Amino acid sequence: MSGTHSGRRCQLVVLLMFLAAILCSAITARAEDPYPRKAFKLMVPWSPGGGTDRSARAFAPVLAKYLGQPVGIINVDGGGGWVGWAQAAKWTDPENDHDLAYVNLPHILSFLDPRLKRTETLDSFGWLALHTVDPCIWVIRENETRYRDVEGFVEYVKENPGKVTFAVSGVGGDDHLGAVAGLRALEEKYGGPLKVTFTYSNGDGERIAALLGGSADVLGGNVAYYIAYAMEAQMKPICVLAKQRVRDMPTVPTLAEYAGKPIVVSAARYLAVAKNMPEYKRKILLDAVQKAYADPEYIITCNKMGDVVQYVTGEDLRKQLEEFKALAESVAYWKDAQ
Amino acid sequence: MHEVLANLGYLLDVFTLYNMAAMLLGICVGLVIGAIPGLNPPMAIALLIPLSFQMPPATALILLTSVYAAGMYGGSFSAILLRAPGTSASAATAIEGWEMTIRGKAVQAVRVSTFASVVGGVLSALVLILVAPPAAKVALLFQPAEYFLVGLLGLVSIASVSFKSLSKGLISGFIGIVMSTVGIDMKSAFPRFTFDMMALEGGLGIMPAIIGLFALAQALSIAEGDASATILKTGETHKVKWELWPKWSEIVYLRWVLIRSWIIGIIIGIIPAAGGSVAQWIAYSDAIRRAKPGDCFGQGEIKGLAACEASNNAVTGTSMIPMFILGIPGGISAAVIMGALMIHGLNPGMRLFTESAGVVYPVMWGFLVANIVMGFFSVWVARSMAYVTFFPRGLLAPLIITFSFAGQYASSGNIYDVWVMMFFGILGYVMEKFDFVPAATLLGLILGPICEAGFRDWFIVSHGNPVSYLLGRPMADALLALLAVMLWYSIQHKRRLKSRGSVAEEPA
Repeated sequence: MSGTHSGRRCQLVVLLMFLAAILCSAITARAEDPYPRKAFKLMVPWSPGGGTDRSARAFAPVLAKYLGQPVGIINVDGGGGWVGWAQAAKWTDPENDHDLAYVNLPHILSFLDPRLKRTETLDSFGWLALHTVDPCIWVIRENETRYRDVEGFVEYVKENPGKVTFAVSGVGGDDHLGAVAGLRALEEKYGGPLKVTFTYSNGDGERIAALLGGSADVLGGNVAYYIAYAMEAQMKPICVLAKQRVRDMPTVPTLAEYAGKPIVVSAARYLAVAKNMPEYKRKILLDAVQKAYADPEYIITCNKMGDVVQYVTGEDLRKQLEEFKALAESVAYWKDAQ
Repeated sequence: MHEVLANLGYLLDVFTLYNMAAMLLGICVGLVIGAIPGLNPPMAIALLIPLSFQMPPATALILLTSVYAAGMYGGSFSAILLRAPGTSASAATAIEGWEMTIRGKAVQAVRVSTFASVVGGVLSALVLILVAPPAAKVALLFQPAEYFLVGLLGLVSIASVSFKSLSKGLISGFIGIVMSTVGIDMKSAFPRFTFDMMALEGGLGIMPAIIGLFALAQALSIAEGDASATILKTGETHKVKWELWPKWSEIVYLRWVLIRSWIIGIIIGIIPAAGGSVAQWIAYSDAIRRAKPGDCFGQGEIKGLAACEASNNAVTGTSMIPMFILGIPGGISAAVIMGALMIHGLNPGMRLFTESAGVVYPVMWGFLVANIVMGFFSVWVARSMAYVTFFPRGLLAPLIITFSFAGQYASSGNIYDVWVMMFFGILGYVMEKFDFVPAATLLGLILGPICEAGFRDWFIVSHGNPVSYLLGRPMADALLALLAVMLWYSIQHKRRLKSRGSVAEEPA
């Protein structure tokens, strides 16, 4: 009888010790909860070799240096970026607390197009920070005689409605939004209507071929790609759609200088994480990101690649997103087709 | 002339230990990546770019261009030996190459393919080195209307590759064209045939189509036979010979088809956005149209194989011409190489040839040397590769299926494309069973968007006068004439063959 009694006590002691052990481990885990504790995945929603992919591959090792963990690139291609973004929108902490994704603006805003029946919105993503921003630029042929600057262009378009062909990437892309918004602002200033004919082709190469070959008259692109040509004297940039003139093209005016109001349109890449990531993890990530942007070697790489890196987060980031959204809604390209 | 000699001086810069090591690495990576369906040269180049950061610019670019050359060629190994083309530029190779393989002529096929590719690459590199600046101007003659016509030229080749039934070939091509319209239309942002499926918004990819229509469909039909049998047709096993060096008699026999195909490749390379996957079909169908009685196109005709392989590698060098001079990459690989060029601080343009001559010319010569080294390297590995023909079907089919799935997932990282690949696989298998032409479907998929974009933009940029616009463009007129000649020639040829009694529709 006493045997069973001592046996029970023994069981009780073991049970208590076991519970204590669990409690202890739980407490230590709670106190330390190491983060980052494993390798990070940086998702690029495009196939390898594209612009975002190249920037990501230059950035990943630098970010890894400051996070203290390796950062691997995962390419999830498809649906014009949406296969990847739909995944990122479903990320939750802590399952995906080592996942980062690139979100491209204004591309992501295609969810505003009701025809696509998307359920995601800007609030579906945990916005971390801006990575690169590349302002839009308008370029003409170097040997163009009909107009040499934005004012001449406006005059020519007014007199020859629909005759000028404006080559941009795709409907709803940054080049297209910038062209539509820019022309509207110029109409307000100089009177209109300013009617141009748009052609769309995805690659910068195809658009340059169209411009130099004469089937396009004005080209909408991004500064990074065209800096090289500005010096090559085959093409002539006539304006940038940025807040101020671009450092490497000091002679190229901003569109705002003509329109009298800021016309800021760019292609921007943001880093996003799980929406419900706790603040202390976000802070660790943000610190690493900020340090990585300031890394001297990375700055040299960026200069070579033409990447303009800016650290923007929190309220300012939110404001940028709202500006992008307002721009896309004001152009509302999807209404034309309905 | 003295410029050419000055140029030759840069050739010596290629032969440093560092450059040659980079070249060999590039060739190895390219051959492997090219041979595996799903992994393609642009991917390999993109992945090597960070590695090339630490290298001097010339070495880095020699590495990347070597991957490009070897990748383009490596794709033909799996196309010939397994009918599972590794890249879109070797899909046409798969037709004659495979027919040769099952007739025990795999080694001859690899041999001819190597010769055609290496010489094509070298010639193309020479054009790049010697006449890049004037050739770049040719690229600018191709505007929307011309793109439309080039696309049509490619589509006409569907008629040539429809060996068994013309109508079934045309239906197959039509299926491809219709499928190429799936996805969000760039020119209106309208979602076409997406059925509210997110994965379809980006369209049906070329990669899943190639892997499915060729590799997976092929594995399914291999799996039909006796598991212990080989893919060789019965009674042909003894025929396998192991001579890997090109024979003079072969070269003489193939000289005209090779020369024509090299020229076709070199010219199409200059046209931005056309590239190897268009050139091979045009060269192949040209060879078929010139067929003599006794030629057995569609059943392992060496001329057909030579045409495909000569043209797709002749594209590689010239596709870099508009990239170097105008900043207009001639294809996806060239676009990625251009990205690398800019990362290394070299901006495309004429100044590149004066200010950075010490980098650019060694790169071009390096590309030429890489083609030759690749040839020797291939002869060496071809022997072991050709043993595939002795593998039992029971081993081959699962291997190809595994590679198809793994390769597709690796290339896009999303499971939807794997489903699309499976769909194409079953489609290709069924089509093959009923004498439809999977190659025509692929051609429709590749050329559909080129034709469509060209056609729509032609109407836009002509501001309401498409016909007079077209007639006023010399290049467009030339292409129209070429198109008319090709069509007329095809019809005449078929008639002639019929009247002689050797009808193209002979049983397989």
